[in-house]
Amino acid sequence: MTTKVSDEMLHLRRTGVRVVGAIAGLIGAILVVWGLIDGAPLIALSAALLVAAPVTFAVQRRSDPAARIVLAVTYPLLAGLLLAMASTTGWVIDMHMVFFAFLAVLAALADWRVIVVGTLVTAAHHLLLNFVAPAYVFPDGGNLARVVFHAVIVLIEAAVLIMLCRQFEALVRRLMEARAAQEALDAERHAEREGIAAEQRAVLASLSDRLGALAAGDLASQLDTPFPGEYEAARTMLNRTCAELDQLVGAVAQTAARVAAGAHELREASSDLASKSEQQTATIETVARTTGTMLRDIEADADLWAATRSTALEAKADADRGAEDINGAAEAMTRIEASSAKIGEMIAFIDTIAFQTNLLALNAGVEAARAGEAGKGFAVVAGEVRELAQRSAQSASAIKQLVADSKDEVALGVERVQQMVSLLASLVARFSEIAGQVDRITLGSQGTLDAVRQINGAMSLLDQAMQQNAAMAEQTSAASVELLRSANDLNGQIARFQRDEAAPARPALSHAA
Amino acid sequence: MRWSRSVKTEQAMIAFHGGAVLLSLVAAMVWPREGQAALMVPLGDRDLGTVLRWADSEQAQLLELDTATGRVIARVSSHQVLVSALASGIMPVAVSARGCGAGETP
Repeated sequence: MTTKVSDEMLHLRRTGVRVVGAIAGLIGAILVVWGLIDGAPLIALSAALLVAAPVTFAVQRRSDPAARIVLAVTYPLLAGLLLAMASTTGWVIDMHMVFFAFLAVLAALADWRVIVVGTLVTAAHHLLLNFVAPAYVFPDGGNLARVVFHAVIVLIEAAVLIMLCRQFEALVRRLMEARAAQEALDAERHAEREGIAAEQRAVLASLSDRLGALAAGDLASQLDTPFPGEYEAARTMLNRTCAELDQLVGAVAQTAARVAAGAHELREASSDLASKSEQQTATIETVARTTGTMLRDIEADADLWAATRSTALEAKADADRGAEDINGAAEAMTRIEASSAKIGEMIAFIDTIAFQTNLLALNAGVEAARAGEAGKGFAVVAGEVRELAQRSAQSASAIKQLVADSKDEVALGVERVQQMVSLLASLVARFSEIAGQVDRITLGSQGTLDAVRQINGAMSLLDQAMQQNAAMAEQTSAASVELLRSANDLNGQIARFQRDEAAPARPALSHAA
Repeated sequence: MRWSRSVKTEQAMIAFHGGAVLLSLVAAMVWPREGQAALMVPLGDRDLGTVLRWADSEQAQLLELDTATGRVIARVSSHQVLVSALASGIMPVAVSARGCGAGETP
């Protein structure tokens, strides 16, 4: 700190030497000019020689004690030379002010010793003048009391200047101490900041290296060297982040691989789906055409069934009418049967008559036989009658047989008619049933027709849907190809990273993937 | 070597300034100006006669003459007078002459 104070004082005194030396040079120049003009070459020469050293010191920017003492000696002598130059004028007393002024100028050197030397030189000059040339000091005549008075004034001024210089030195010292303290504090803060900056640089260098490696794809390496203080958390966080990023990239890699595999499978499946969709579309088109054909067939069948229903109804009506006719026939047959019965009765009556006639013929023959020859004619008639009776009986029997046969036939016919009636009734019922069934079939055909129409419409829709599915399958295939390409690109991007192979992939990402 | 040369230069400078100081003291206090009165002090084995002979030869105006003490005060008319006084072994010292006001040129 003393060195700093000295440096500061040295700077101030160097500036003071420059200023005071420059003023001395100026005064010397004035004295040279004045002395040459006023016929005082020795004073001019003396002034020139006297200011040579101070000017040189000022030019050399010196501030050492020798330079200051030289200036302290020079200035009172310059004042004395001015006083000597003024001795031929009326400004001797006024020129004494220069001593005080020059003594004050010497205070610019900030050295109390300079003031002391200047005061001593001034005092010596005045004392010498008092004895050698008192007229220079006291034009009206010198005396020791006036010298003492002047000396007291000079000493007061010198004391004040010395005190000021010392206070100035103390002030500069305190200022330097404060500045030194501030500089020490600044240095301490600077050192602290430097330390922090060094730590920050080290941390930033490590982070930069690690981030550079991370940018280059290195996910596996870690920052092993601990960071100082609070930066350790950043290192830990970066390592954890890198580890998580490593796991994330691993999971992404696995996901990308699965996506690629899935995309590959999806592409194949899409291709299969597209081809199958095309096949199914073709099949559906075929089915649609078949359904259309079937619809037209079913519509034709429905028409046919309607015609069949009409036919069945007409057949039913015909059967009804036939049943009525059959019933009429049955009634006729019944009447025929009744007539046959009556014929049979009549035939039986005829047969009875023929039997009676035969008996009568027999009796007549017997009687004619008994009547002998008389009775022969009768016997012939009786024979004829008997033959007739027999023939009638035979005829009656034949008729009876025929009637019986007829009756049987009628009975059979009635039975058949009854059967026919029953059959017709059954047939009518069947026709009715058929008509009903045809109705139901017709209704069913209508429903089937509607169903087939719906199926046809559905098949059309299905055809369109299948075509759309085929298109979508094509799009899906193209998308799967793009997805596969993207997955491969992603795998290529992920391949840039250098991973810790031992690091497990993050399960959540696997789920997410 | 450089330090030694610097010290010598410094000493030469101090010596030069010392000479300048002495010359200045002389010029400021004892060297008479033209027209001023000067106490003519004989140097060495010179005596009052030497001063009087010089004053006679230079036609110097004597302002004070005290034969008892050998005190001679003469007015310096020119620098040549001062040079001739020095050449004659007489040291002129500026003084204030009686009957003359300070700074006044008689």
